[in-house]
Amino acid sequence: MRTYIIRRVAQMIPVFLGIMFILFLLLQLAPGGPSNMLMDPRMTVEQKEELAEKYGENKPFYEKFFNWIVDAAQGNFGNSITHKKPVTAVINDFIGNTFLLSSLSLLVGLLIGVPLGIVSATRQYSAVDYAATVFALIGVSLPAFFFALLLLKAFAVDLALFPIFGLADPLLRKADWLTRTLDKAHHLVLPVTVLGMTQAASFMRYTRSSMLEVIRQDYVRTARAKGLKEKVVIYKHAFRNAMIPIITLLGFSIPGLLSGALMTETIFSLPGLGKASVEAVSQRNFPLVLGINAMLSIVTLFAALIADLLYAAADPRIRYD
Amino acid sequence: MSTRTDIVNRRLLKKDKNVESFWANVFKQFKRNKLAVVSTYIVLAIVLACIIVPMVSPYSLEQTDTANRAQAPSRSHWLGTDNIGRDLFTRLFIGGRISLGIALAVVTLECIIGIVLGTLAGYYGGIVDGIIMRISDIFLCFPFLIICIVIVSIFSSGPATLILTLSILSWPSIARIVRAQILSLRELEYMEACEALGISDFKRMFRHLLPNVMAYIIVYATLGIAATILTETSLSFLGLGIRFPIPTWGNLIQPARELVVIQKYWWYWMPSGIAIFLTVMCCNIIGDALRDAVDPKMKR
Amino acid sequence: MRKQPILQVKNLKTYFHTDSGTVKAADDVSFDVYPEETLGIVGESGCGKSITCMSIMQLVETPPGKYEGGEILFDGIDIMKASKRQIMDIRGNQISMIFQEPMTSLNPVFRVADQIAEAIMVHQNVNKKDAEEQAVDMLRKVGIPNPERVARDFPFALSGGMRQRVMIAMALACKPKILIADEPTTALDVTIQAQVLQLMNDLKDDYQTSVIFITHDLGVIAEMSDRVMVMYAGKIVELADVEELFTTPKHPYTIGLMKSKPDMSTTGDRLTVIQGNVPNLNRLPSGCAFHPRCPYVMDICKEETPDLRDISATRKAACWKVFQEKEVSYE
Repeated sequence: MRTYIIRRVAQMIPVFLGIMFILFLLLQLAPGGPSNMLMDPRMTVEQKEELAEKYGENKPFYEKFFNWIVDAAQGNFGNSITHKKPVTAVINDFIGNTFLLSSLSLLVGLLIGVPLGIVSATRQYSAVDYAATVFALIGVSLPAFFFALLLLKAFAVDLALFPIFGLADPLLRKADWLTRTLDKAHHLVLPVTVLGMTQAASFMRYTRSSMLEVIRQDYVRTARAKGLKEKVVIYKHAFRNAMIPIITLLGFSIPGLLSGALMTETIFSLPGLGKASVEAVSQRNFPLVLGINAMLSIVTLFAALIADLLYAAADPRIRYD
Repeated sequence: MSTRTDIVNRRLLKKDKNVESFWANVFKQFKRNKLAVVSTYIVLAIVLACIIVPMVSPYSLEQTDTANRAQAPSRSHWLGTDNIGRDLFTRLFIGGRISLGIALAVVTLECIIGIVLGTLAGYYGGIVDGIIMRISDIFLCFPFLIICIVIVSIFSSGPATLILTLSILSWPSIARIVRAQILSLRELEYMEACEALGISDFKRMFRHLLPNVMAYIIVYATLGIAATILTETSLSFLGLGIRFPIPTWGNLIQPARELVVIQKYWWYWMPSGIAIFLTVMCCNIIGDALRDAVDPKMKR
Repeated sequence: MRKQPILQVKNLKTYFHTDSGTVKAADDVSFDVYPEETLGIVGESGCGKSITCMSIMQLVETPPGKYEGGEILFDGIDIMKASKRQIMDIRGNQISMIFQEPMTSLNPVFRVADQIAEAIMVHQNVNKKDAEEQAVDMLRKVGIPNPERVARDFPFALSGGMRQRVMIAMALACKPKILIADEPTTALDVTIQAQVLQLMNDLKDDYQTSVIFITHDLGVIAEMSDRVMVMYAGKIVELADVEELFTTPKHPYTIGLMKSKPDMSTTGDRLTVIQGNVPNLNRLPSGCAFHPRCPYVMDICKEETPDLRDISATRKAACWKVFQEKEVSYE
């Protein structure tokens, strides 16, 4: 087990380097580097050269890549050009909100999607099944941003029940902890609804098809033949098996969840990594772009590993040695 | 030698006959799903409208009419006009042309890359497989949205860049499907028979294996169209995909980022959103129905 | 043996309504099961043997299946009309079933002991520890070596023969009155098959259980059963004591089956096969379903379906030719 984890982590390294290499290559091909953004038309050629030198833009590509990797391995991702702070500190400022939004949405997605999928599969072709299937179909087909706009129109603008953007009411900056938390929750309702519903829809579809396959297995019939209650047959014998592919899906859905979170943040103007990266790219703030990407890639890679480990825990037939 | 050829020929012929009845059966199964049939007609209608409406419309894309600014839908402007008096009905269908065109191009390109690499990986195995699968790992782990943002904001924001970006980022899934199918198919005995006859590698791969994989690719491509429309419109909405003056269903909704538009001018943004939703949903329904028809395991 | 029947199936009708028509999987099936006997059910695949037995356990999936009528009397209850509670109480407790596919019939994610103990705990008022002890006992009784260790294994670690033994242990754990065995040895190697059959015969005597044994293998039927019921296209065509059936088969289908059985004494000769194929169950021929394949076909066979009639005190058949011969012999 330990050797397996070590081997898997070792395998991640080339994948991670590959991702960063390609990103580096793209940024290299981009017209204009960070120094361009800071340049002043009144600068002399020498001054421009000096600035370019300062950001290492004149070094050959492979050298820059190599330096970045060496520094990154030591936890140094450079300084964010616009924030005048280390990249790690900037990421630290933003990651909390992104994490909050994605984990809440994932939770909402699982809590709605999985039970709905089970009920839908066990009563295939019933009214409940049709309703749930239609819900899931709408959930995967409705563009998240359009859904967000509809929610904004209905609940934030027309009914004025929820705030329109941001995560905190500036008037409450000095309020006590509880008021601020409630305010944050109030701000999060619409974004979490948008992202959570998308998640719920895809979990529902997977759970349903996984359950449909499992409830036709011979061992489910055996469980019924033992005289077990239908509830025990479904939730113990069938779901325990149907869960296995859903766990894999969970691991693979992390990149999508993060992308969704970044997009939702942008629509609702939440201060998170999504907003930070859009800004970083448009300001040619390459150290921050690289830092955010490095972090997201590592999260994605580890999510896949954790999914595999959970898979082994759920399925006794699989042993990693 | 001739008898051996006969045996293989017979086997392959039988295979072809199976393939034929397989498709007939898929078609029959598909037609039984009424919702999917209706969806097919809706998609066809949307496509036709995108082609025809801009041709017959009395208005053009950029034709402004300052006297009729921000008009609600009326008899002369079916979906109203925007803040500089452009006819939104015409713009909606021109935007549809771009969005649908991009989706089609991305999926085509993605399938070509995926099929070629997946076939090579599945057929040759070993080092070739290892390299291709490692590369696909890299692409699967890319923070999709950020890479799109980087590419689109750094390079031009034209359709060609976006098509290339989206297809390069999404080929690994189809390569994996193709590879898995090939791996299971090449174990079958008729491939051994081909080998015994000395039919060349390449010919074997593309003549005999691919038709079997086609069904899965078609299912994937249909669902891929839906997914690509969603991605493209989301990026364009955020101003990171296609930008004006080229309209797409995504950037037509952009005005709604202003509060006053959400509040008062629903006709600026709702029709495009509904168009995206309808098209994506129909493609999803068709894709699901095709999958059930191809792989009847899921249906009773 | 001619005691009160323990189970009576009367006019059972289980149909499947599919898009391509109605399949009468069990069509007007009536038979009795007596205490401590083994009733063999034989027939080609798709003739309704399994569906008949699944109906007794109420395990037919509805939809697409539907119980269209009939009675199944067991222990004073009509199973067809019984409440869910009553059925749960019968399943695995009074009537148990083992299935054809030992490889897929055990739940892959639970340990063997848990799966057997679960069956014990639903029907008996015992705690988990005692149930697990009983499970290990059962594993020992079905001849599993090292039962304490196997009890902690997951099913994937066991061979097909072992898994079928586990299934038998699970089925007999609550000492059922009837054990339904649906082709329990079809998926096993021949040597293992013999062992499992032997085991079933031994346990049946120990537990004084009646057995309904489904198979398409006449050799197995001869070895296992006291009485035999032959099914064709959803109907019983002949029912007789095992010796009678093998020495003097009456129904042309039974005769055909006997002839197509490989026999050591006729080595070298071609096996006789019954002409034609099993009919498509949703497009059955008119009259007697067997008539297109029957060498003795008469006009009446094409028009009217023969019902199952007594042709002696111990046997029944459904065949116009048999009825005629019987009348002739009376004269």
